[in-house]
Amino acid sequence: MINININSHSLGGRVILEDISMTVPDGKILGLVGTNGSGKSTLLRLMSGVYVPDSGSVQYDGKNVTIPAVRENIFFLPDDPYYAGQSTGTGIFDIYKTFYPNLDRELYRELLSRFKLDEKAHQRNFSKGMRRQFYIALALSARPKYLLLDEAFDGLDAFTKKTVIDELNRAVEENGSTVVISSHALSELETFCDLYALIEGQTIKSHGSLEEHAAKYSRYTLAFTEAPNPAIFSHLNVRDIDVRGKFVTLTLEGDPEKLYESLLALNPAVIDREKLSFEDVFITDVKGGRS
Amino acid sequence: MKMTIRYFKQHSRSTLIRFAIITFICLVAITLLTQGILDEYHRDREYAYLHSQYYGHTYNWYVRPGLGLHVFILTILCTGLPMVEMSAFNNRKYLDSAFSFPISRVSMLSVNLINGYLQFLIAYTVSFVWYAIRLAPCADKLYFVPLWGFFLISLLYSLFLYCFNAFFFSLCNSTVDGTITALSWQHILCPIMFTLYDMFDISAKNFDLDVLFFGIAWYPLGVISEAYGDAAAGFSGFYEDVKGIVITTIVVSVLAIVFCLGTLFFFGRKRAESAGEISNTAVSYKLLIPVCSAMLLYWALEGGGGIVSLFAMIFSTVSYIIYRRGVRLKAFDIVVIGVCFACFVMGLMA
Repeated sequence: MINININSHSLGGRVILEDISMTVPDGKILGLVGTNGSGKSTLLRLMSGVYVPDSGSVQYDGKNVTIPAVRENIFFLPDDPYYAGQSTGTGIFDIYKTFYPNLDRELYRELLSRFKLDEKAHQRNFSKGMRRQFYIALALSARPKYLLLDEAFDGLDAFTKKTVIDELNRAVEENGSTVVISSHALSELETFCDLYALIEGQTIKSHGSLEEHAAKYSRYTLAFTEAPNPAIFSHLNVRDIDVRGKFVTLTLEGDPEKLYESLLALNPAVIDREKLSFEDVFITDVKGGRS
Repeated sequence: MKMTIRYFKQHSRSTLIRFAIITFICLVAITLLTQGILDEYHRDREYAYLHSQYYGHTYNWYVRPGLGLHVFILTILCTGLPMVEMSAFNNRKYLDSAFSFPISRVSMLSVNLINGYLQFLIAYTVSFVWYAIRLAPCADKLYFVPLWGFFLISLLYSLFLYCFNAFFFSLCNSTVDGTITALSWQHILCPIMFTLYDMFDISAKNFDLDVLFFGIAWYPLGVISEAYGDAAAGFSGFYEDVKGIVITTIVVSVLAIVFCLGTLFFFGRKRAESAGEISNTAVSYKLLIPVCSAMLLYWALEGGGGIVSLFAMIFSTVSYIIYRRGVRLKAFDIVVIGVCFACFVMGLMA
């Protein structure tokens, strides 16, 4: 279990994160989402022990991440991993094998062949996506209890994304791994994440079950016989509204059934309800926070 | 501990080629130098004989000149090796991975420090042994005493220089930053040594010549080299030389320990997020620039030298402005300028 309690962390005199309090249960996949510069990468660095919070702590199974032995169970893959100019896959594997003795060479080679990567090739000759595939193969081969991935899908094609998602799911099922993954690819996160955490305004604005959170919002499209006054929706918990003549699109927060009944009471000619995607929920959340 | 040993083995293996190249270059340099000395010896054996008769040995004529090369090798390796060993720690991408590995920062740094110093130690020792073997035909038994005495004390001195440079390279946030800061701070040793020599009535050797190198950290080693030469030749002032060696040895031993502990202490608190940026630590430019200006005043009062201080100050100031991307003065900067200006005026008056 990961317990995150960060009171504050600053970079260059600017507060990046504050009042972060969250628990990630074992065997779950948590999607870390937020706008550019919201502090996702900083949070992952704090979680991996790369950064030490100005105030607060990150604990794994009750032990602080700053204890080196605790980090034996954690594999952190940064958004742009380091490689020396002459590094080959074999060389990088050997370095990681030093720190992660359980690194599985067979699985590593299997994943590389699935990604069609040559382990003896120089890293400098790899494209950004190929390098990311390589490091994901490395991370998965370590079979860590806790896997922290920053921008894991950045630069990956659709096929590779699918493979990575399958492997992450396998890691959770077979090894009981806990995965924390930050990404802007919300549609991908939606397909395999159990939990989400939204970072906005230097803090975790909301977190919890992805499914439950998505169910908080619903979108309705209504058609009236005459152009309606937007004020008629003021009694509802409106998160977003778009009025175009006789047509209104509403994103509402609350119990969908009750909202539906309230909208019916306004006598629309047509009413249609649709489920929001995680991306829509994210946009609604962020918009709500900024309005 | 197990992880530290594993990392040491891996790191040693990965830097083996570098070590082989360094040793090879040292051996080539020694071979070329000693060939010149041997040629001279074979060309004029009569002179060698006379020299030996006059001084009682051939140390000063055939052995001592080569010690300059050893001082040079020592200085280059004890600056270059900590630089390359610490350079990775100035790379933010590297730290993103390294600091998440299951090994403490201090252990990781210790491995790099020890690996670098061991490589120096082996390369330097092999070079020294090769030097002794090559010159054996033209040296007599007396040369062994000062030669190996010099070797042992130079090792101690190398430990100081290595730790001194490692301190700055580990603390600074980029290699360029570290190079400027480490080299600029070296000359602070000069007034310390001079003050100590004054306190113990030891005259600084070859003042005029060494003015050029004043401020370079190998100056005490030069003093040792001179002292050994004089001691071997039985020159007057032997007692003074021994005092100089003892004082210098004590100072560099204390400084080696201080810088070694300082390196480990401060690195444990290094912020990965600052890597690649300007160093904003207690030893960076904000302190270095006024210290350089105070050094200029010191040299003005001494009546000579100061060229290294001047260069250090210019480099530090330019680096500071470049890194800051302009001159945006804050309150502390104004204090720094004030101190510099006061030193400048006092220097003019002196």
